[in-house]
Amino acid sequence: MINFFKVTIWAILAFFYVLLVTLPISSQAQLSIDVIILVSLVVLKLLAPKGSLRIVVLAFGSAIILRYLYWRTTSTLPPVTELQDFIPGILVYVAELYSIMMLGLSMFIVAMPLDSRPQRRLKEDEEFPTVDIFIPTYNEDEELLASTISAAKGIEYPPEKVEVWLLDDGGTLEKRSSSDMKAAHAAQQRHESLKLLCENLGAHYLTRDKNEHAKAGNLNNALAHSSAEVVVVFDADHAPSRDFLLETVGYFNDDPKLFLVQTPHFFLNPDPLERNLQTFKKMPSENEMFYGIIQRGLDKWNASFFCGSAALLRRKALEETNGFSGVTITEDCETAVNLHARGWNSIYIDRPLIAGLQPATFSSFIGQRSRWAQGMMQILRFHFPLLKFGLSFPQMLCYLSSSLFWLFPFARMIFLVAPLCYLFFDLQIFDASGRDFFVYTSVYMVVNMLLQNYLYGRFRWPLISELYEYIQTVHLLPAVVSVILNPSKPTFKVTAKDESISESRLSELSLPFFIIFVILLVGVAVSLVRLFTEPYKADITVVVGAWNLLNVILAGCALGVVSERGERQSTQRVKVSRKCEVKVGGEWLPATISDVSVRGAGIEVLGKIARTISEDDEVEIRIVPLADLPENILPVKIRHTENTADGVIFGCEYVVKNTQHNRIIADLVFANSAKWSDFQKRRRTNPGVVGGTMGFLRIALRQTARGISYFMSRAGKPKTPVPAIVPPEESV
Amino acid sequence: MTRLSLRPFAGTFLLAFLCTQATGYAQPVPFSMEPERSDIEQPRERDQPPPADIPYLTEPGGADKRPAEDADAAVPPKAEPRVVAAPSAFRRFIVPDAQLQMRGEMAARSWSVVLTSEQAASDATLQIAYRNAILVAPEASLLRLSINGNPILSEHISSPDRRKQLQVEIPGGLLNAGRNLFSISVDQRHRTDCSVESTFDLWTDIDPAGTFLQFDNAGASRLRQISDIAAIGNNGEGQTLVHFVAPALEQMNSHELLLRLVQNIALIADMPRQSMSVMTSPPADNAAALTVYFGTAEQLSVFPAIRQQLGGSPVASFANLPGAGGSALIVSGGAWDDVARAVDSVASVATQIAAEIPDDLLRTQNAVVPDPPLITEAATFRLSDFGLGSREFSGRHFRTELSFGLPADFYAKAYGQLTIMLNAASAPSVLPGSSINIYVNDELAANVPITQRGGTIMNRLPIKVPLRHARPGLNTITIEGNFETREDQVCAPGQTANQDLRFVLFDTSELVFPRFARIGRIPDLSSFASFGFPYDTLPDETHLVLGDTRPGTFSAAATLLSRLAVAAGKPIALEADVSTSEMPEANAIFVGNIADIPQQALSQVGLADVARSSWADSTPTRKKTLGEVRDNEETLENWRKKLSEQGWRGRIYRLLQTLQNSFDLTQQNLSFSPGTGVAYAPPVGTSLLFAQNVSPDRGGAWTVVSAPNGQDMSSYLDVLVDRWPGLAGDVSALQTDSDEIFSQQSGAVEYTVTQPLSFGNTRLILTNWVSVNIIVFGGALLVVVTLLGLATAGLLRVFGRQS
Repeated sequence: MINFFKVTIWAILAFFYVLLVTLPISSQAQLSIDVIILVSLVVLKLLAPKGSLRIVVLAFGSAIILRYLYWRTTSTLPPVTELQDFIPGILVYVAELYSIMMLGLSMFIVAMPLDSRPQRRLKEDEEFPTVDIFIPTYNEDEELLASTISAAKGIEYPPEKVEVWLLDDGGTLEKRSSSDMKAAHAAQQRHESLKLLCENLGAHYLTRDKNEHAKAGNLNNALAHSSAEVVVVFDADHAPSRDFLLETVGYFNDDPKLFLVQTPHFFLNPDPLERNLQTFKKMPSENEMFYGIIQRGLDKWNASFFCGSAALLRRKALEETNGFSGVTITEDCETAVNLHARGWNSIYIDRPLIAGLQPATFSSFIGQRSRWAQGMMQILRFHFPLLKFGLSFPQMLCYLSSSLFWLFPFARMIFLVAPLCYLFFDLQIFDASGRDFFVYTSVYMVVNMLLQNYLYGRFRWPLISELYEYIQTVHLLPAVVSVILNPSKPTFKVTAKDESISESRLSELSLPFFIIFVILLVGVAVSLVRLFTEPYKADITVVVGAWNLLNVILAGCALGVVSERGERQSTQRVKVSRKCEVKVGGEWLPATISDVSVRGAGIEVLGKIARTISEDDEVEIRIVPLADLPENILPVKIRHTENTADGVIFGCEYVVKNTQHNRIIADLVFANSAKWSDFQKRRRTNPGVVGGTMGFLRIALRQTARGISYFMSRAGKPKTPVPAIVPPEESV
Repeated sequence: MTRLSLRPFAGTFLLAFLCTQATGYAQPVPFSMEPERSDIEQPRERDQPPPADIPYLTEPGGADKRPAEDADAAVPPKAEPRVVAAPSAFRRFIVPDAQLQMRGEMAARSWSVVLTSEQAASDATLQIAYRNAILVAPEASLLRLSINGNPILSEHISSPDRRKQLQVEIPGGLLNAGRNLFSISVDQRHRTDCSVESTFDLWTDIDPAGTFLQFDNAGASRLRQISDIAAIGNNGEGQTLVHFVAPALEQMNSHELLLRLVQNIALIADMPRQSMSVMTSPPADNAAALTVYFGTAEQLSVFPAIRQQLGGSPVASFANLPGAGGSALIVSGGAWDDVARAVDSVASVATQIAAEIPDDLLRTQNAVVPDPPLITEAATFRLSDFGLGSREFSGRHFRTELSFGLPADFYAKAYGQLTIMLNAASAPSVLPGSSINIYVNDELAANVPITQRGGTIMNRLPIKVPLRHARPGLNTITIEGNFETREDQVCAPGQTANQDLRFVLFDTSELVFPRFARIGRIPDLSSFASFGFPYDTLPDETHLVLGDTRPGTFSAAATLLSRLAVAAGKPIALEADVSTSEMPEANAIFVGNIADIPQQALSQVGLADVARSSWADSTPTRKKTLGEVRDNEETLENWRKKLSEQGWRGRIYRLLQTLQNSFDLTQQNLSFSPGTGVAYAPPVGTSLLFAQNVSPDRGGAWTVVSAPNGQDMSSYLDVLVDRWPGLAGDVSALQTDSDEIFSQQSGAVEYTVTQPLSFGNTRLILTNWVSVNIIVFGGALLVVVTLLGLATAGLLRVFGRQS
């Protein structure tokens, strides 16, 4: 009853809100309203209110955006009789409409995201459900798998209640009996060595006859061979922390209708943009916007969805849908939407509990994104959220937002081309005077940036979204178009994440970026020429030229993204402080491990005798494992040393001689997930709209220059690569 | 029988006629005293002396003024071509303006002239007099005139040093009984200069006093039935004088009836510049086009000339009254009831005429043809609907005008805009930097630069035209093009006469009027002036309170009411016999010198202190001439100013100015209810003051029309004729010396519902209101946005998971 009352009040207010905002007032009045709202918005934003006032800020922003939308719809579309203007004009309009709709959907989702859930550890006296840990693999190498399996085996949980399964799709019967003898041989070898690895680490090795339905098929095969109540999925490169199960399984006891507990994907290595722009340590990663706030927003509406890994699922729920869904190539989201539609619940834990790798090269990054984009298009096609019976309305909107997001290549491409229509062909695609443009469009753009910053400021810096969208657009657009034309054609392709780049080079996908950049530069030149030769339409030229200039800045920055720095695969070191011993000359010296990564560690040894250690020496370290391990000594190779007052600090690389060593490494690296949170939190600062924009401009300028220099050196000396720069690994 | 018996009078008044002839007014023919009879077949021949001279060469006679040019023309009479009228000729002046000036490279004007069937049947010649600027190149400039679509004159404009009189025989059958369409257009080119500015130096003045139809048939002057009043026309100054002779003016019970008669006659005549005079006896030099004798038979019997037509039964008929100057109409009866019935018979004719006019048109045809559409809802018109054809143009300054009407409750000034879907093309020779400008009521409203080289085809190019300068009633849109070419920049000899086409405007171009807000406002002198609002809509009679019953005051009221009646398209129902002692609470109009207006009325309309101000006893100077006479220098300045607003500099300038204006919120925008308190003081030189406010019972309006003490208001009201559309706001002051109106809105406005308050209309009303009251809007928006934000937060706390 009270709810009904509240909804009624809201509806009445919303009516007046829409009424006021869509009054076709004069431009003069509009300008005054702009000032009033902008000032209110900026003041409110500076106060950075939480709770209800946060929604008020969004309401202010929406007022300007709705007003713009109304004006744009009623006053600016070119006449239908001028087809050469009308068609591009409508395309731009639709692209803007799309952007506004996406902003609206995301405002709905993140209006009041759930706070991070309080820790819910399994209590001693609670029931511990049985758990099957699935690690599907296709082509990942043994070393990586050993690390992941070791980490999984290291998870704290009653040993009799947890089983670890390596699901090998690279060693199926089909692969092993391939007509390609070489491939068949490789598959056979892989089959055997992985089987052995699993045996040594105490995991189950499972493969199947045929590679049907890709990852979903692989997981379903495992479901058929196992029986635990809760199923955990880790990608082959996602190693869990020791507390993974204790932090998550308890929720299944709380809610019998819970089918999914999703945790964030935390990456130890930078994506190509972060790597090439060197922002990994300073700026929040791309996926932090999704895992940091959007999943929390989805969680509010019980719409947090399965992201393929780092998640727990209830077998009983999966049985209802005959396991994981495999119609689309994004089986994770598809499975979630199907189970949500059947009334099952999901939750999201906002704390990194796994650490993984992400694509390091631009082309594998694009490959991964193409799969996501195509899969989400398939979701739109086969499970259109608004028509998905069983979903609640908020869930529909949530899935709509998640899937429609991947249409961004269209909008981005239109925004890229539109100013050129005017600059090169003199098309009038936006009927507005300079005054109206100032009063409506510029204010809308400012408000849009303010709102984005307000919503995502700590997770996404200004213009970074635009940059990410732009670098994907060029290659995603054809992929999205192809899936729209042929929805069932795309097949699952495994993303390579362990590539490394030893030489500085241009990505093989870089050429279009240079071509676009040159075309946009010509656009800049044309706008300057027109500014001087056609002063009578200077106002329009200034507006369109500025728009094009923004595109040039993005495109220039993108040149840096596709110019890949030659760096050794660097994985992030995480600060720890853990006692150990180092064996020097037969004597165990006390030492402290100060930082660890999946490849090596930094160790401070007490005792002057340790100074005898030199580079490339192999020494042994001894730790007290947190898990119950049969062995506790790990050989390492010294990479560099530095004397201290009491001894020496050295950086070392692990030397893995048997699988038990992997477990020790896992025990070291994945001991404590809290450290990963700390790392993320350090990057999560909000530079503000102005600061962020200025920072972006600086980066863009540098990256444009770097991109051009890479291009030049390649053009000049086609075969000689730019020498690789190997920076010393830094700890954070 | 009657006819025979009246015959002797003809000679008796001959002498008197000769005297009046010198005044130069329209109807030099004495009238038959025959009563109105439809069966009269043939007017008799009359013997009349020729006019002393053509009118404009005569010295001014009587109290009437001459057009300004007459003085400075200073042309020796002998140099002028003489127009020698046939002895019995009758002149019907055809220009309904004090001055008709054709300016620029292209100008046109059409209007209709109502003729009686006798006039239409008569042999006629057309006289037309003009003089032009010396800079007009004769070989490239043409003056054209057509009647009912038939060209009858095409003349190279070639008379810069003196007035040129042209005479054209009108072919038989060309003129119609009833409406006749006269169209004058000019194409003018500069002798030497190729610049756009130079085109503003081009003008041709058509002299109204020298432009007339001359009918050979003397009977052509005669009016026979009440509906013939529509053909009374105007004098050589464009004015239509009607005299009402009411010997019993002092009698209170006659006022209402008389003013009812005045309004109905005004409605039938429907001339643009009518002046109503009320008097107790006709002046010796009666220059009126129509003299109406009004009263009971007994009262009118003091005029021997008409005594014979008086009797006990109601009469409303024309009298042949030699020496009376124009037609004479007797409206009389034995008792007031009979007089009232006579007035009814006149009113029935007015009603009949009114019924023939479609509701969706404004009646302007006697001034401008076609009648502009009255836009009351969303509508689309083509240029051809405004009587404009497709027009090819070879000059540098294109200009065409069209008119439309807006209803009294038009309320979209602050936000509204119409869209012109332009179908036009410019030639490859036209350089970028040329532009098309749209003016609304002579104020620049939109600017479309031509930015493409090599010609442009504009196919339904939308041009948004703000209605900021629009107003209830008649509005004019001017479409103007300025075209620059390389050839003009070089300006070789003969270039101005170059006939290469530069621009074409197609008549398929459209004006798209959106639906706009409609709500009546009181006070609003603008809708009062254009429609008699709110007096035309209220069911109750309007009280007319006269300051005194002197003929001057009464005449002023008569002229005012005749204007209101024409504006409203029907007579305003009056309760006229109201003494100032018994003040009505409801609808009222107060007319009188300031000291004679009741203090309560002055307080109500915000003029509380005006009666005590120095203005109350001031003597405003009067301009020498009646009506609109534009000084050419002044016109040129005006145009130069407009020109400076064009081009890209102009665009940037306007952009900055708009921004400036937008930030510079006016007092009115900032206040919650428009300010009150500061006493209004009329500007120096104000001769006539209009002020309006809601009536004390809030059901209608009180309007005060006043002048300084001791001044003859009626003459000021005649001057106001050409400034009538300038009335606006809640107070308007007319200055007769500068011929300007200063209007302002300083008090609160009451809104009266005229249209159903549908959602759409309410929304648009709100739009206009908030566009004016921006701060209120801003405040409301802040409140609603904040509340919605909080309400949404409340919902988010109820729905979905909670943290």
